[in-house]
This record gives sequence, C-alpha cells and structure tokens, in this order.
Amino acid sequence: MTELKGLPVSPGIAAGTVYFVATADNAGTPRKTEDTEAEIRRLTGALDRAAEELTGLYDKALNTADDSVADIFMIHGMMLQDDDFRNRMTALITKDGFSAEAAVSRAAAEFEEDLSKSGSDYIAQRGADISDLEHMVIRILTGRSAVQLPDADEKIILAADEITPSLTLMFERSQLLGLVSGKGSTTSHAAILARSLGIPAVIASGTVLDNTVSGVQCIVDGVHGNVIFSPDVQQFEDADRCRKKYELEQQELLSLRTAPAETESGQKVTLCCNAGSLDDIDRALECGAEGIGLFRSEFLYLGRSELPTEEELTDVYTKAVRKLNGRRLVVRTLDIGADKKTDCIPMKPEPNPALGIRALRLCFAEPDLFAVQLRAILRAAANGPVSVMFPMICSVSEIRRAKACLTSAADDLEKRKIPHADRLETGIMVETPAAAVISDILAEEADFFSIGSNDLTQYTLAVDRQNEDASAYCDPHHESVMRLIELTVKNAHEHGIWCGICGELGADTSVTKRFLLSGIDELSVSPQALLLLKKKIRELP
Amino acid sequence: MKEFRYIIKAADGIHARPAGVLVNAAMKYKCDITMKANDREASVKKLFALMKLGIKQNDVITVVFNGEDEEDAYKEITKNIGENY
Repeated sequence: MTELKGLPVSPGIAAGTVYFVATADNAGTPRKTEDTEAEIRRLTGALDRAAEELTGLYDKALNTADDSVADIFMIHGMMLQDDDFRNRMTALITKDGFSAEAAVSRAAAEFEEDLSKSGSDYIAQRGADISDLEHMVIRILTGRSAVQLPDADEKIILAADEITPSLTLMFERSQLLGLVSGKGSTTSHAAILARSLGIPAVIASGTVLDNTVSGVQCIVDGVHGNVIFSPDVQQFEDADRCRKKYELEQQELLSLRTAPAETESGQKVTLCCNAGSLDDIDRALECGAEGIGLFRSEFLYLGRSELPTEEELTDVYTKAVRKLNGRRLVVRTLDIGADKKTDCIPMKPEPNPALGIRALRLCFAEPDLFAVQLRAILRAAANGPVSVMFPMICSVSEIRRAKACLTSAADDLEKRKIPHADRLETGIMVETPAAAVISDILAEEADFFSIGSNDLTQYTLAVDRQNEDASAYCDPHHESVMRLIELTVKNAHEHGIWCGICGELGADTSVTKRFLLSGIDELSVSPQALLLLKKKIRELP
Repeated sequence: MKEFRYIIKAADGIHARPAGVLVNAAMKYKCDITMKANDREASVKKLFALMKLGIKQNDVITVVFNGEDEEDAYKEITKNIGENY
C-alpha cells in the first residue's frame, strides 16, 4: 500500500486499475546531425503532422467537452505556429547542428524557462502546454505509436508523469474513472479538461510516477487530494462510502436548484446572487437564483481611460434584464472611491479613502456621471423589473437628493422621448451605522433596504477591512453588527418595506438562523454559495 | 501613431486563451501593434512574446499602434482588451 497526498484538481472519488502511460522523450535519438537540410525537412514534416493532430483534437474536444477545452488546442496550434518558437528550433539545427528531436527539446526548455521568468504564476504554469507540444512532436519524429490504448471496454485510472489534455482525449470518456498526474496545477489545462469532463483528478506533486504502478489497484480522491495504490479492503470500503456520500451530496445540492428556500416551518427567504459582470448572471441562473440582489456597476468603469456612455450602460443593463427574464435586477449606482481608482474619473488622493468622497458622495460631486447612470438604469427598466440602490447613505437628505436626481433623469428622458420606466423601485444600501440607527426614518423614503455587511462591519468596528494586521478586529459576527442588522430589518418591516443582505455575511451559514429569526426577506450571495445556503435554510426548523 | 493605456482587471491577467484571441485579432492588421508593460515590450502579433510579458491583474499596459490601418486596429484591439481583460 502506498498513499500519496496530492492536490485535488477535479472533484469526485474513483477506484480502479491503473493504466500508466510513459511520456515520450528523445532518449536514444542522436543529438547532433551533419545533414541539417534533412533535419529541417523532418522537423517541418513533424510540425505539420502535429498541427493536423491538434486540429483533430480540437474537433474532438468540441464534441466531447466544451469550447473552453477546445480553445486549449487552438492555443497549442498557435504556439506551434509562433515565429519565434519555429525560428529558434530551425536555428538550433542549422547553426548548432542539433538533430530535430534535440532542437525541439532544447527550444521547448528555453521557452518554458522564459515563461517561468515572466513574473506571473499563471503564465509560468503554461510551460506545461509547451511540454505537451514537445512530447507530441518528438513522438511523431521518433515514429513511436501515439499511446498503446487499452481495450475499449476496459475502465482505467490514467496515470502519467504529466497528464496533458491531448493524452486525456486519446481515451474514450467512458473509459476514464480517474486521473493521477505527477506534475501540474489547478489551472493546468489538463485539470480544466478533467473538471469539464467530470473526471476525479489528483496531482501528486513531487512524485515520480513510473511503470511500477501499472496494473495496480488505486483509489483517486479528488475531493481531499488522496491517492492510494494497492489499498486494503478497509480503504476500499472507506473510499466507496466517501464516493457515495459525495455523489449524494452533489445530487442533493443540484436537486435543490428549483426547490423553494423555505424552512421546515414554512418561513420563506428570497435567494438571489450578487453579480459583477454579465457572465456572473449566467452562473446565478445556473444555480437557481431568484434574481440579482446586487449588480455592481464598477466593472463598467474600472480600467478605462474614457467614461462609458449612456448607450453603453443601457446596453449592458438591458442585456442583464433580458437574461433574467422577469427576475428582479437590483443595480447599485457606482461605488467607487480613492481606494478603487479608474483613469476615467479623476480623483484626488485621500488620506482615508474609506471615509472620503466615494460612492454616492462622488456621484453628487459629479452630477453628469450620476445622471448618465440613472438614465441608463431607467431605460433598461423599460424591458423588465429593475430596482436602483444607492450606496453609502447616512442621512435622509442624501436619499432625498438621490431620488431628486432620479426624477430629473426621468424628466430628461421624457423630454427626449426615449422609452424608460415611469417608476423605479428605489432602495438604500444600509452599510453605515448611521443608516442602520436611523433606518426607521430612512424607511419612509425607500422601497427596500439591502444591508452591505462588509462595510457595515468596517464602519461599526472602526477597522479597515483591507488592513491584514487589523483583521483580528474585523469580526462580522460582533454583537454590534448583528444588532444593527436586526434593527434595520425591524424598522423596514414596521414601515412595510422589504430588507435583504447582500454582503458576505449573507452566505455565512453559521448566522443564517439568526437572520431568519430577525425576519430577513432576501439573501443575495455568490453563485458558489447559493445552493449550500439553500440547503441550510431548508434544514432549519 | 495611436496609443491606448489600460489597467488589467482580469484575475488571471493576460492568460493563454484570451491572449490567443488577441493575437489572432492583431494578425489581421498591417500596422505594428506593440504592448508595453513592466518595462518590457512585445508585439501583440506574437503569442509567446505576449505571454512572456507576464501581465497580471492591476498591471498598467500601453498598446501602441503604428501604420496605415492603425485606426481600425485601435478600434478592434481596444474593444477586445476591454471585453476580455
């Protein structure tokens, strides 16, 4: 029995017989050549063949996996066509008299080295893609058969020193029970492919896998990252129990997609997702969100040198409304300040940006910036249910002023005869202790409250949430924060408006019970957290 | 000559797949398209060269367009970068 602790890169648990595949190398091939012209011809021929194989793999990936996996082979094809890479291989043959095999290996090693020095971990890990290509070209050059494949009805745990996307796709999906690779990372393309195909996979980093594991029984636990070769009966049984439990949990979570978020005694909560892009809305719908409780507009502004136009904002918001198909979209107006800078909005450096001219304060300082957003939101709202939410409110005068801006934006559209909603549900993001304390007064001016628990915690406890050294003081469970939340919900209900939570605390299942006791109407969380939260709610009395 | 400055938002920076899309888009134009970042520069038409810049989230990049069809290239490439990064 050998047990390895590795990196779980694709969840699931599998047990079966190991099928080991040795990586192609240039061992035994000559390093140098006299006939450089012939070597160039061999190299060119092999590169052409490799390009054909990659096209075949691209098509196969489109049919068996998804577009993102197919794109991996498109990138491999482009790497193979890259002038710098090809020129280097050619130069190694013509100038240094390398054999084609040696030239491929040397050039690949050099380019991998360059990527590892790029300063980006993500790019450094792309070295694995170069070595996948290297092995493919060398296999073609040496004339070795691709890979000896097992019988079509044999189910296997595929093991290799380095599992690559092209290797994975040589097998039928139904044959592969699990994957064990000696090298790789969570973001390696083979890991992405494994997740896309739903095959449990573990990277046993630092372990040299060789032929001795071939034919051995093996358990791959892609949930915890364990690999056990030649397990005993007890371990087999444990693995089987784990697998059943895991599969049941997954099924249960997925089956909750359409189930109501309701406690055993029938208390209902609306479960929504927070979104920071249009893609996030797709993910929200996949997990069964009932709407978007917080649509962050910032992504439309960050990293740009020119402000987005009214048309552009209207277009994005309208797309969001269409995707949601009748579900509510809560758009928060721009929440940006000197801590989140963008080139398109000039901002003075501030000694304490969390307490400076940010969010609504910035919008008041830049009336055009604000008006463009409000007009775009009103225009999008002509296509479906949209609410607007104002961040950083402390006083009644601020919400009144924001609402006056909204009215004048609507008047402006009316004059220009541009279609828009007549009325918008208007909410306050309760994220300052001031707003929570006077929530009874604010409730008269708003249609709903949504509690921003992250900022509420920071402002209540006087702790900068960006400051790691102070993180011990940043306790969102602090009684003061919880009481402010409860007070806000109570005041909302006394004035007949609804109240939700859109901060991270909403997804924290250790406090879900307390929130439900307060009578919270809505929780808006990240798509990954939604089903677990729903499960928790359904288990509450 | 046209120039475009941008701060990378994407969590993974300019990673392989979108870089491929960017290179394919750049190849359509005759003008020189160069990306500068972290005191290095590379042609946007070359995949490995672009990847070697090692561009990460929050890096400031400058893209310079120089040549006859620079207006069209500027339009497409800035849109591509804005949407993907």
